[in-house]
Amino acid sequence: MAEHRSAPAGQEQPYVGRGVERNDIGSLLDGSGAFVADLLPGAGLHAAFVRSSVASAWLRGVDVSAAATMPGVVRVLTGAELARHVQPMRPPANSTSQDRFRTFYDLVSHPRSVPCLAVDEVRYVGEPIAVVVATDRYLAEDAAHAVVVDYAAREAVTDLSRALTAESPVVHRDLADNTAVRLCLAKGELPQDGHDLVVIEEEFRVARQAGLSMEGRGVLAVPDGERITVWSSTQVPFIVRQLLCAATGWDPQTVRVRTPEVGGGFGPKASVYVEEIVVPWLARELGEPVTWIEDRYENLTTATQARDNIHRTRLVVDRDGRFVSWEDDYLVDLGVHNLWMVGVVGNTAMHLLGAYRIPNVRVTGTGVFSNKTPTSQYRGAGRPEASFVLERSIDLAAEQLGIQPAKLRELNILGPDDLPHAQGVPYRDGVDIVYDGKDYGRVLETALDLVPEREVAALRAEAAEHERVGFGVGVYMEATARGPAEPESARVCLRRDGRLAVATGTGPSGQAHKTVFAQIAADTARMAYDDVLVTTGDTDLVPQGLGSFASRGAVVAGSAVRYATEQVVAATLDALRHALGHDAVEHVAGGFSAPGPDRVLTWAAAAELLATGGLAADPVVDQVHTYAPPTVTWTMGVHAVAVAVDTETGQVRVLRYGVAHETGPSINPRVVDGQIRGGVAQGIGGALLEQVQHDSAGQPLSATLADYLVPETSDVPDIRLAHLDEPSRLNPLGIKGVGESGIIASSAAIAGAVDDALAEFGVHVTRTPMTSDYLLELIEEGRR
Amino acid sequence: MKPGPVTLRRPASVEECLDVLRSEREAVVKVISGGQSLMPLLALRMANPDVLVDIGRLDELIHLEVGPEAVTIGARVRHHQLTEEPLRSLLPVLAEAAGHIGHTAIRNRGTIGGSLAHADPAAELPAVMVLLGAEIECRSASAGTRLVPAAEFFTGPYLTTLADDELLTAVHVRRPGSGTGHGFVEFSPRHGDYARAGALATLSPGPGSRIAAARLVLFAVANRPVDVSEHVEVAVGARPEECDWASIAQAAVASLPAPIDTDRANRYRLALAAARRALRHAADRFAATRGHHGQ
Ligand SMILES: Cc1cc2nc3c(=O)[nH]c(=O)nc-3n(C[C@H](O)[C@H](O)[C@H](O)COP(=O)(O)OP(=O)(O)OC[C@H]3O[C@@H](n4cnc5c(N)ncnc54)[C@H](O)[C@@H]3O)c2cc1C
Repeated sequence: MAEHRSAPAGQEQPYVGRGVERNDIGSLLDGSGAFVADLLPGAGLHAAFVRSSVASAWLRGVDVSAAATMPGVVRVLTGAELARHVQPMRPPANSTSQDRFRTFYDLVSHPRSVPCLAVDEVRYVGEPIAVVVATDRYLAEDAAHAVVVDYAAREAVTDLSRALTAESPVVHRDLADNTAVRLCLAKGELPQDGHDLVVIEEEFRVARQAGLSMEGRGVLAVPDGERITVWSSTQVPFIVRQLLCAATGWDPQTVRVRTPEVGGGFGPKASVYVEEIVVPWLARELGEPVTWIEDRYENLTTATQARDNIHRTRLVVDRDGRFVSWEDDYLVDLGVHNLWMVGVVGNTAMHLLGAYRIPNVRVTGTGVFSNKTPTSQYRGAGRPEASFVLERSIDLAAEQLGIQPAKLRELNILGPDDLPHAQGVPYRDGVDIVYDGKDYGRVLETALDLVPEREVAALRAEAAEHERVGFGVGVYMEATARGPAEPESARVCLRRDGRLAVATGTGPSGQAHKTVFAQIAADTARMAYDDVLVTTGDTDLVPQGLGSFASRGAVVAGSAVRYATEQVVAATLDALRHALGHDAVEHVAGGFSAPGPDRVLTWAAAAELLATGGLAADPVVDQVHTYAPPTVTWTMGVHAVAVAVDTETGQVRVLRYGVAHETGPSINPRVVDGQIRGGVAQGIGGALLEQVQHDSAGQPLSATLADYLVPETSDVPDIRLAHLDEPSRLNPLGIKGVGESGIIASSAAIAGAVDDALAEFGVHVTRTPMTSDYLLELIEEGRR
Repeated sequence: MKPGPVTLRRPASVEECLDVLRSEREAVVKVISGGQSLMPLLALRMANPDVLVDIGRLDELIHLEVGPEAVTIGARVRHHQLTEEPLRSLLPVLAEAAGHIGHTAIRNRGTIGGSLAHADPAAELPAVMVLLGAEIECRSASAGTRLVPAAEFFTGPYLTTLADDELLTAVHVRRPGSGTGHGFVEFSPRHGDYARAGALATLSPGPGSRIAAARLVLFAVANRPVDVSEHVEVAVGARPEECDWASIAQAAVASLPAPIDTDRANRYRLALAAARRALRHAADRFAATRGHHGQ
């Protein structure tokens, strides 16, 4: 650890750019880190929810009389009663869709509120109907099972391909049909068909997925006089406070939302949930702490899900292999509601523009309501879907043209002459899209080198009799850190002991924010990394924030930390000059230079001097900076994969995996590598295993981890990485987000590799996940 | 996901346990052993017994007896012990199959008796018992001890001939003849998952390095393990290298009742590959052992 101590003046080395040890890893590894369930106060009460067992029904009655008198039961609350006190949960006013975006994309959006507990109807299996509060969770569940719900079942909307037909029931009866969101993106002109053109028309499906986090959701609400502290396992503490206060009418000043350690988020925890309103309301009502910890069944049926698309696409390529036009008309099943409405539908559209020269593009995206679990973003959030359909279409075109898939990409990919590349289309933040990259062709080349042809040839030669080896590539774009309307605050204080206390609204769910923010602050203040203490996820500590999502934490909150630390340096300098009566004080490595021979005031000495010299308070200096980037900055990358497919079982083994990307410089390369490796593991899950399924009545068929399969360590090979740095000009750190890079192109690349492996059977993968059943069917078709 | 209220009984001996099972005959009673199948069912409240009889104190059921002809394995012997010596050498097909049950943590708790009493059609151990012609020892206070051939013990999905007041106490497995080659192949989405389909085979040598006995069992393709050994009869009297294992596997799978749905049809396809490979592995090992003995 010695290398993290104060660097002596003259030979200081910046922390940013180095893989310094994580400052939070000890407590996470030795079990002392506290997650919500670790905070339970001994005397607290426990909530258990009564949840709908049908996907669509009128509620004829909810009889709680038996439950109310059961042992340990303190309170049973129904939707009808709660509705007298609490408004439905409303989606936040959509600050992320700027006017320019709305007009350019002809945006139609019908956000719908949801009752905190169902009142007269239920609309998905798992929807909360009532809640029991008891002295422990066992007793609460016993009583919850004794609540009798009388349903009048209705036909449920469960088939995305039929949800917009005239015969379909309508999920939200105040709407004409199940359209939730619609948007169009048009660029250039669509060409007339000609003999000299290759046209690839296809229908693709991307399965519904759960953004499975190891730790589920959980809320602990602790009333404290006029105030209440709400601990929640969330990515968005500020938005939780906002929606909680909107529903209850509480003054935000009285509500403090905090995140303890969060065991994975991945997007579903960037949604706000009715449990985050009901549990605090009960705690205030009962004047006691109340806890609800999501169990895995609830997690797999009520935590938001994602993906679930049907795409109809058309890629036109000329005989020389140049892309002429690209069209996609797609549906996204948003489930019963989605707080962010345009989010995923919009991301898909914008990322369909791809990393290529495509002069003419037409995209129509429709978000559709259904009687399935609500949805939100899940890592990638529209980007994997876009990459899958575009990259698949390119593979199919390459086959028609008789050239290598990588070669066709090479012909069209944006190179140094094309970049930076203006798309002439606005991003969701209203600012025109400009890819701020350098050379995407170089990234493709680098990825191909990570899994070189000769190695694939050797794998082919070694394969068992019944196995075939294939190689595939997938290209992706990742817009990160949206602009001006989505700021984050950082607060940096110089403590009396000379250490810096940094607080941000965004917090980690595994991404090492505390480490990278400490690196940034330490470099800016020119002090030791160990002397920076970072607190995240506390609405009391900073004035403004949203949370950790969309690969924005490092860019937005990191930049705010940089600026706030600069302010601390400046304020400290000012105060020192004043205190010492001298203008010649300078900021130097480890502290400040003061007049006199070789006199250096360490940060600790400076703080002490200021504290005794009038600035008696602790902290001695307290600065806040709120930062928002001008618009998104773009990471781009390529995945290269070799797989083996068992032709008798349809089972896929991922043999080699490489990711090359062009992004900003790494604050901490080890953290970046971890982000990508974890993303790839999830990407492999989405490509091969993960699938939330419902039957036609809307009953979930994947409500346990025996049915919802995620990859295990033995399913994920070693992942080779190559980083090509191209600093961003859009933020003071020059960085770009990377949180989603690992997952975006996995399905595309693996599908390409599977097609290649099974070329003799004419296999064309058009959906995820590529289960053994699905591939066996395609192989069998090919044998016929 | 918390179990409902239940009365827990913890007998200290088999005798006492059988008394408890008899006296509680009016109630819904469940024995709990390793808990690796029952606990999830309790937590999901798919099983709601009134009384739970924990056999965790019955050390009489952890025994392992190795005789010249047979091996007796107590009901509480854990899966991981099946994968280790001495069983690994004595009953290699059992060891290999047990290694495919879940993960280390599950194998450290789950017991052979629990797996057999649970009778999941996709489970490995019931299929091994059918393959090896094991006898399952059941005891009750009312009927004493009876030995049930594995082929008769499993009657359907999660169904056995165990009576409500009966405890599964041990299994008796005949030791395979020396030189027997075995094959075990299962296909599951991930390692450690229940099989989508699986096959087990043994080929035992007779005079002149010819096959004297051949057995093949399929699992996860029907509501219990299926003994399809009659389709391997054609191999008896032949040398392994002379046999057309692909055709034999084909005939064995073709003998299954017509698939009831696409899931079953897909399982049959996997079973075909599993049977072919299991037979080939058995043939390879048969050959290897023969070579070894020939020296
Ligand atoms: C994640 C996971 C993966 C798994 N994967 C597999 C797998 O791939 N293959 C597989 O076969 N199994 C698998 N299992 C189940 C595991 O093998 C269990 O150990 C086994 O099925 C039951 O054994 P147990 O001792 O845990 O029994 P328990 O769970 O305690 O009991 C199971 C049933 O048997 C009854 N029972 C138990 N012992 C006796 C007895 N002595 N007499 C009468 N009745 C008795 C109980 O009443 C109960 O009905 C998995 C389990 C988990 C949690």
